[in-house]
Amino acid sequence: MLLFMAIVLPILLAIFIPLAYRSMKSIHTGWFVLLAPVLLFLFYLRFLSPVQQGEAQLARASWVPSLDFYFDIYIDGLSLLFSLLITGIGSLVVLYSIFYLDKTKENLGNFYVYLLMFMSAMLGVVQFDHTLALYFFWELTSISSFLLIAYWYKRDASRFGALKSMMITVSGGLMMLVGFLTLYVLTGTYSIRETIAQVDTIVDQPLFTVAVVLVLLGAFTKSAQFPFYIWLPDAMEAPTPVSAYLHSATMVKAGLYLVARFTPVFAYSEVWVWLVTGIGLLTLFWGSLFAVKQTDLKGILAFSTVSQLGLIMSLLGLGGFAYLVTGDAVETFTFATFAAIFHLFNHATFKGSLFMVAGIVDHETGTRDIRKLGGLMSLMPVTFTIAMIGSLSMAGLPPFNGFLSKEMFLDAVLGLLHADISTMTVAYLVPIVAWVASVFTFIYSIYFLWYTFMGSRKEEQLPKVPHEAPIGMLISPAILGSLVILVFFIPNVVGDWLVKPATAAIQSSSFASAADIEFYIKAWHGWTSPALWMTVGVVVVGFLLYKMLPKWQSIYSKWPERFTLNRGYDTLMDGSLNWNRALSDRFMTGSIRDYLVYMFAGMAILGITTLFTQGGFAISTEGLAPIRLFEIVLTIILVGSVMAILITWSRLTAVIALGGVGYTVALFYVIFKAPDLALTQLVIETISVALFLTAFYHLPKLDKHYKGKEDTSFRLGNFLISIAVGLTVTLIGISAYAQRQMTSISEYYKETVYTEAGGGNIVNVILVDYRGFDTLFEIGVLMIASIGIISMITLRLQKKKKGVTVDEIE
Amino acid sequence: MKSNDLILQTSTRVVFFIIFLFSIHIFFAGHYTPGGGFVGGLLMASAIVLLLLAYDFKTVKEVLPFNYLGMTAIGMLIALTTAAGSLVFNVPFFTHWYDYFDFPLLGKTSIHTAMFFDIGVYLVVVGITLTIIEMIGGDS
Amino acid sequence: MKLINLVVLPIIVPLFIGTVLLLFRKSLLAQRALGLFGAAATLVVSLFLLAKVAEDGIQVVTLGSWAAPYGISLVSDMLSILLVATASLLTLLVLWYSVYSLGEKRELSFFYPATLFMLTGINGAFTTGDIFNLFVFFEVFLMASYVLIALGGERIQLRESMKYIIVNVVAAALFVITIGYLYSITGTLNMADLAVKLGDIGSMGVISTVAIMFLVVFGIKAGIFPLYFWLPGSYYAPPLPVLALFGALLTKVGIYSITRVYTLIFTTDVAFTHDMLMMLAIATILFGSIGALAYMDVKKIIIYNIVIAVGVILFGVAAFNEVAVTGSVLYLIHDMLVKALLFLMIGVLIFITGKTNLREMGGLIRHYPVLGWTYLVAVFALAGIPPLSGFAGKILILQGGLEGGFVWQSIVVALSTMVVLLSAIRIFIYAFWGAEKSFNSPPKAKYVNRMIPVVILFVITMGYGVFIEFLMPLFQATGTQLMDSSLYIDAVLGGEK
Repeated sequence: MLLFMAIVLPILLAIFIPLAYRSMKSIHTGWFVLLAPVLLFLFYLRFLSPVQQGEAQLARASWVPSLDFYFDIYIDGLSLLFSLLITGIGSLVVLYSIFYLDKTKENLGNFYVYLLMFMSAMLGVVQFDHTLALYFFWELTSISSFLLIAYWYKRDASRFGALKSMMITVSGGLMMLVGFLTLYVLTGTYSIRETIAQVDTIVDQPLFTVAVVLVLLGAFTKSAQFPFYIWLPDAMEAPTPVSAYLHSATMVKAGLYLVARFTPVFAYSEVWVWLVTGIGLLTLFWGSLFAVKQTDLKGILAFSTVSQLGLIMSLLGLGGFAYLVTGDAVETFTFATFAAIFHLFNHATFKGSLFMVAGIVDHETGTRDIRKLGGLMSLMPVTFTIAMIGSLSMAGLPPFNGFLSKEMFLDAVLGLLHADISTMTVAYLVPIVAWVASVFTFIYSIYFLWYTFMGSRKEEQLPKVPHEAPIGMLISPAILGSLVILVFFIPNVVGDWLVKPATAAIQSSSFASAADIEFYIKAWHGWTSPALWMTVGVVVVGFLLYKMLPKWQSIYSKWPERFTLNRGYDTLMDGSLNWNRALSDRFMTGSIRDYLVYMFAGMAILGITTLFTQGGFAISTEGLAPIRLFEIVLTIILVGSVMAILITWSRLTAVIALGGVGYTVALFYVIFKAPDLALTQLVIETISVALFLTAFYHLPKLDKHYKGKEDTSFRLGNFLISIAVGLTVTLIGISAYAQRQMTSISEYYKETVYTEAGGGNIVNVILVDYRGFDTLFEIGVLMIASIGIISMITLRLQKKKKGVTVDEIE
Repeated sequence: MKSNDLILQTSTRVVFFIIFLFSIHIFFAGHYTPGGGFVGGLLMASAIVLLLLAYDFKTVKEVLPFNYLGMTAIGMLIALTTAAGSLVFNVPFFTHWYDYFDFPLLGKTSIHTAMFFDIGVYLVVVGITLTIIEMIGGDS
Repeated sequence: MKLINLVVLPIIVPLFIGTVLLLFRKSLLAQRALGLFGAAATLVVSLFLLAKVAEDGIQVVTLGSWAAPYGISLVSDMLSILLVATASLLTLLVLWYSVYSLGEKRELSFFYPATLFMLTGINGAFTTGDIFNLFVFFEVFLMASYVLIALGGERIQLRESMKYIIVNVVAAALFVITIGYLYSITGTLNMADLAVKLGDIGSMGVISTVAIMFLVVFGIKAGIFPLYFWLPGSYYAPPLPVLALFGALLTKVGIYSITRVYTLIFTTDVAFTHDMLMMLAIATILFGSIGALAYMDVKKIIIYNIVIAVGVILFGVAAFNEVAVTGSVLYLIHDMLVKALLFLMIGVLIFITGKTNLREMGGLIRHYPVLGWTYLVAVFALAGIPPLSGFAGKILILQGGLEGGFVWQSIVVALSTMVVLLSAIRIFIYAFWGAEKSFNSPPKAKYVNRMIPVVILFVITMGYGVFIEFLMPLFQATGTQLMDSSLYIDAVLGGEK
């Protein structure tokens, strides 16, 4: 329970934040908020040692036990690593935000409520073992991200960035949900661990691949993989602390977490491993390529994040191969997973610091446009130092942690060549793509650093006079920067305590616990290490290309704007309005005639096809009386009167014809010996005809007004539909009559009408007794009709104009 | 609408009461022979329509000076209360009760709660017809 | 004492009070007080009945002491009483809201009695166990809805009410004809009896045809493809409280009726009839989506969302297993609550801005934060985001769909959530965010008055999501009763009361 309380602590705290914000204006609200992540970070640190020894932490809270919905908490190495990242980086970000956001100008109450909500949500995602609970908090991260991106809600860019991120991540989340439910249908459990336990029984089922693809859609959208990454650059509209926290260090890694978590289940599927590896590499390449195009500091970082997420994704995919191979190759691929986790950690440190640097630059100069920046090194030496550490680590240079994990990455992709599954030549492409992407990574890292801090100063273009940031704002990035260097020198401390337990969780079929993993991280592998030479190549080629950057950067603008993914999204969103509007206008004409045509056509098609395809049609003449002459005559009169109503232009004729229909029906009742009905029908017809005539007395003449206005030309389509409707009703009627199966309940009425009901006239006894309830409500209908008439005639809120014309009704 | 047809007016005076009495007859006969509250009410309504056609709405209002909507509502309440009487005895809703009595003068007669229900039906049918007439007549 | 007539009360209480209201036409106070009292009393008796059904199982009374199937049976099973209770609750809240928003002229023009009569018809339709009596109750609530849709006599109202009446008269005629077919084949009208007899007969082409015709008849009310076309225009016309009632209740009677006949009566040719229902449900979702995305008019957006939800609920019914059907019922109640809530909210929105076009709104969150944030949460509830009210139902519907092997259909249903979310959140993004625009903002007190019932409904709706565990036994009972029709049949035809 304590573990559950830990997850919801931030949300609970959030309830008091608006209060604190309003009542204590003098203290920056962030200081209260800071409590939560710091406390939680310390709390989770305690688990390092037990988890490393393989003692996972368990807890359960229930929500809807009837639906098997529990908040099952399961903290193993993977969850713990993420929890520490969330709370650790969270503490630094909150601290940073205290100096970044002005307590007098900004609505801090809202900001911190969203942020705390996110913190809880993210902790839940990485700790729940229950798929529905995971989904629950997954969507909560999307929503808090939505609110944070639109924090400056008056700006259009913020609103649309927020919407974009939500549309993409929530739809991915939904697909993931369907995937989870598919898994549930296969296994009968929502627990991930139990699913892993019975994975043998489900891998061969056809639904398994469906689940694979659906869950991956969730992971790819959240972790901004190609082609879903487009939301991430637009999410940069959020305040920079948010970008550093959600859109670089934590939330976007939820997709990676998901892939890692489900590797023991899905890695048995080749679709999974190839998709994860392939999409990861593509994203790595694509992101690095387009990072160089950006001119906004945060834009560069956004694309670089996309690219780095792709890198980690592809490593996780390679790790998945461990489940498909045997022998020595297993070690190669488990090492990929090890590298993935290590890089994930490293990325959080250097990218976090870089985002904070971008925020500082923005804060102190008033712009993030790299074309206006330059030469800030001497003005902001501390910021520059941190930026340099971060950038070079990102570029993969020593002595920074990025170098170590980049080398491991290159080793891993080369490992694919040695493994025995490389019957596919595609495998050779993998190291090449990885290398090219590394070159571009190098370029944008240097681009970011140089264009901001080196070169000539352009102070006249800056909105503000730049100077070094206040010390408070520098603390957080400085801590992260120191970690970047520190990890380079003591990589195996991180490796043993964080990376190995996480790897053990992912590669559960190879390693029972962290202690079984014998990987050792070292910076120097000797001159023969191919990864080393690849890195050398990256630096040389990268440096040359960087020097020539002004010459080829314009290539990017050659790509037609129309074919970009962003444009695709915009078209889709505008299209959702415009296309649908056009489509809708085509059939939602507002004309009741059109609607009736659709409805009748639908009805006739449904009725007739069912009748004939299901073999329902039958005809039977058994027990029918012969048709007599006056029945034929009455039928002719009936049809004639109906036709007369349709074609006449005179109200009088129409009413008389209508009366004709009614009286003829009454005569039919007489023939069929139903005196009650005949009497009723006759009186009703009389009254209604008389009342119609009285009412028409008040109306303008029909023919003068409307003749010619209305299109009465013959329409074949409508004609056919009306025939079809008539046929449907008749044919089903004939068939129903021909296939009577049971005797009617009316026999009972005949037997009991005198003995039980105390009456002699069945019709009336049915009306007042057997089915008197019907009558009660039929007179209710009459009563309601009368109030309808009164209110229609007496209440006209609008001034009476010409009355409603036929045109309008049409 | 004003009608000055003297023959129609004169005969209406007679016919109106004939139809009215017939409607009462039909109403009571209903339980054993064709008829009942609904048809009875309709017949009464037709008599009123005749009155309207022969004279005008003012005359109708003079002959039948009620609140027509109130009449409808009361008819409904009578029908509903009859049906709901079963609530008091805790038997299924709408359970009727009847018995035979020997009245002086009338002889053996049955009293049936269905008749009270039918009175309600009768009133509603007449009430709504009058409402419609009032609305059409009053709007001009 | 055994109260055998409890089943009747949710039907006749509003009828009685509505009728009494006709005698006090001129008194605004009487109309308001008795109107609210009528709805409240109905709610109380239906909750009482709910408790009874939860405790003792299906409640039946066959009227006039006749034996079923000869008399008319009224049957309160769990599905029925849940819907009755929800309808009564919503009517009460909407009436409350109307007191502040409708305007005296409309209020005095039979608004309260007509609403109570509509409730009579709706509760009756949910309760009756007789297919012809169902028709009668359809007439009752339809007639009342004619009164309500034209209430006020504005031009657009007269125009649209005309269309509404035409469509419904056609539907009513078709309804009677279809009942005629069924009666011709089986000779009975009692639904339990029909279930027994059709079960004995087994699968038969003509019966499948009649099943499809019933789908058409009820589909017109429910607003399924290709029969929903009348709905958006007609629902657009009446004043907002009326629209809220229509949106929350009327289509649901159609859905209920389909659910009833497709779980109780027509279960002998599931492979055909329910697959047809499935196809139409998916088509309904797609066509609803087109409309929901096409407009920037707040009323239209929510109206088209009704259509989408109809498809989603019927998808669960068509999947026809206990999980999916339970999910459908959970979702059905959720949808009634949340649709009423959303309509009332946009009612307030329109009241504040005087506009219905989103492009003319903006920046309201600053001055109307309560409306804004509750609206946003309601949208998430509508989209089935956990832990809000739509979640449990949606999960079960999808799970049931997947269990039934309807994979791509389930994906369509899941994706429809995105349409729902996008269309409804547009309102939030355009109206509440963005640059502030100036409106002739009405007095704060009037805004607050309207918000009281809205916030109460909001809290109830949220409670329906967060505390769903406490209601789950009811819904599980519903699922069991719907999938095991012998429970219903035995209750009606079994022991005599």
